[in-house]
Amino acid sequence: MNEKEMVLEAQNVYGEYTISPTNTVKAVRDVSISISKGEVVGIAGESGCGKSTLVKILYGYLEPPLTAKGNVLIRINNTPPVNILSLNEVYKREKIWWRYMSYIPQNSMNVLNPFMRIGDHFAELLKKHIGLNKEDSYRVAREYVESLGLRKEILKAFPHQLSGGMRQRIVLLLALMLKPSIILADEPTTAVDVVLQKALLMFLLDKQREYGSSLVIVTHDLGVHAMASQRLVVMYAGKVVEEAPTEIIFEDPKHPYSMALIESIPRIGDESPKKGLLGSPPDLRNPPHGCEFHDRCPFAMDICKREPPPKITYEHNHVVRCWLYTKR
Amino acid sequence: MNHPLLTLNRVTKTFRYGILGFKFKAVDNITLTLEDKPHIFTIAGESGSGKTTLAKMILRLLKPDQGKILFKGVDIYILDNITFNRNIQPILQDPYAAFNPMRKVITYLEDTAKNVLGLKDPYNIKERISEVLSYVGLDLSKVAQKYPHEFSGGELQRMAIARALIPSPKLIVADEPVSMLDASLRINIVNLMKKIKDEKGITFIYITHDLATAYYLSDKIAVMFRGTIIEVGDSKKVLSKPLHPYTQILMESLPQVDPKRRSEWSMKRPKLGFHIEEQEFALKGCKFMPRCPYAMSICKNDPPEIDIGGTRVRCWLYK
Repeated sequence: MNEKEMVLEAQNVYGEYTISPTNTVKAVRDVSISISKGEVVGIAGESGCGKSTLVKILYGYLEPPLTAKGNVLIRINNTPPVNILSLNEVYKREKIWWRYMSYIPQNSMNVLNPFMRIGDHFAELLKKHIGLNKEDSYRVAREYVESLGLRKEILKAFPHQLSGGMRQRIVLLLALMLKPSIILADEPTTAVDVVLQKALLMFLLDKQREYGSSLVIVTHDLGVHAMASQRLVVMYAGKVVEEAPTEIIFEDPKHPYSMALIESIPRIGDESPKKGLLGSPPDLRNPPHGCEFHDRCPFAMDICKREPPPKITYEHNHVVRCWLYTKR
Repeated sequence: MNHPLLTLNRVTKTFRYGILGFKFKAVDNITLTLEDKPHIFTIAGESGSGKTTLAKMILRLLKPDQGKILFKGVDIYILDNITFNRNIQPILQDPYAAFNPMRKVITYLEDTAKNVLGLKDPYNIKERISEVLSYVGLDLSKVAQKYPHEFSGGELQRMAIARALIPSPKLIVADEPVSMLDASLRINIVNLMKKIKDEKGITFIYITHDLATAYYLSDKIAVMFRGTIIEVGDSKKVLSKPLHPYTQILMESLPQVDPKRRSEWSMKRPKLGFHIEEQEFALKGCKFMPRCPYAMSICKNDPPEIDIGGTRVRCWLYK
């Protein structure tokens, strides 16, 4: 793979939630990922694997009890890279969030201000970042909402008057309004109907292509990853266990966890019996020694319980962390 | 004397928005028959299709405004509670919401054994509970002292299934039983339902929006849209060769779990309706008409039900 222009690079990132003075949940541990310009990266894993926490850290959105360590380097318009984790709140709000990087949070249908009309959400955003007045913002917003099959009348509506799917569309539109270079989407299409899911996903991909942005899609739904992401990162218990181009990971998953995930999904037209995993993910207050997956892994060996697995790289940047693939 | 297991005869339920708001039919004149042989019957539909309302009516949690629901030929409202509960049992979507967080989960199983099955001797109760728990893959000694939050989602759903199995019912109504679970655990619960059907001869009504598990698990399927059943038939047939335009669009929109099929999937763009849900409920004739690519003027009239090779579809296209 040729070196592409990096827009975001996370190096050895750790994220912890403080739950008492002596106890923390180690939600993200030693994660390094890089995202290049125009790329669509998927992050997969089950609930509690740290994927949402990772995205919050990438966005630099750290609210107690979440704390983070490590570097998340971003490069705005060819300036030297800055670590978003060391920037102050005001700078992030003025220069980075919405403009350079936008974030579509989970349950995004519930993030609109219930006391503000839909149009005022657009007006506020456009005023702050572009300096448009209310009249002009409404004009811009009117054309814009029609591009996603919404009527312009809804700008006058309050959020509670719209259905969940419509609100989700509004949040998506707001996040893409300023043509950000990086779009972080956390479960952007969960909890909507499949028809709307497809429409939202295609809209997101269209805009990403049109703006040349990089897109990070976080979802547990492997179908969405198969249809949207170019590269797939599989997380388990706060760590990245496997990373590869999406087609390769579906064809030849190496980590036993990725295998189980991909093999457990029923598909239309496939009559073969499917098997799932037993057990449940480990308690991240006290992560286990060795490989996090060892107690659910059908191939677990002695060493898996003692030492963390090494990182093994195959061609096409296919990276896996597992003891199965070491030469001995 | 050969009655079907369950018959829904022109069942309708009307809800109203607010006190003076307009009325809409969440379930509109549904007629359905479940044969009396162990099988899994899926009721599929998106949010707002009326599938949960239908489930609640079968479970007697809501009373239909019109129409009758017959269990083995007897109106379910004539059955006394014990007979009803011995024959029909629920499994609900969110196990954490189904159990009181302040109560040990095992007490629900004890109550069912006492009140529904009528066991009195504590030894018999324990024996029955231990039997159903080991059947679903749990160990009584490990779960006896636990409260809901101490279970994982998959285990708690197993507890819910074990509870439903205590009276050996004829029919289990499972409303989105796996939608809250992670993918790797989901299939285990789905497999468990299949095993229960095969080994215990219990029929399931599996209510879901997940068409892939419906394909994997079920024998028959009814697809709902805005309160009506638009297509019903053999699951494999309906889902691989859908007839109704709505079912066709659903199947085209479903993400394929195979990156090689991405370009095929991206070819067709779904058309989004300007109509909001309430307006679709209020439509006369076919409620899918505003979004249907094949809409004709005749669609303003109620579509007829047409039998095509065993699948019954409600659409003017096939007239």
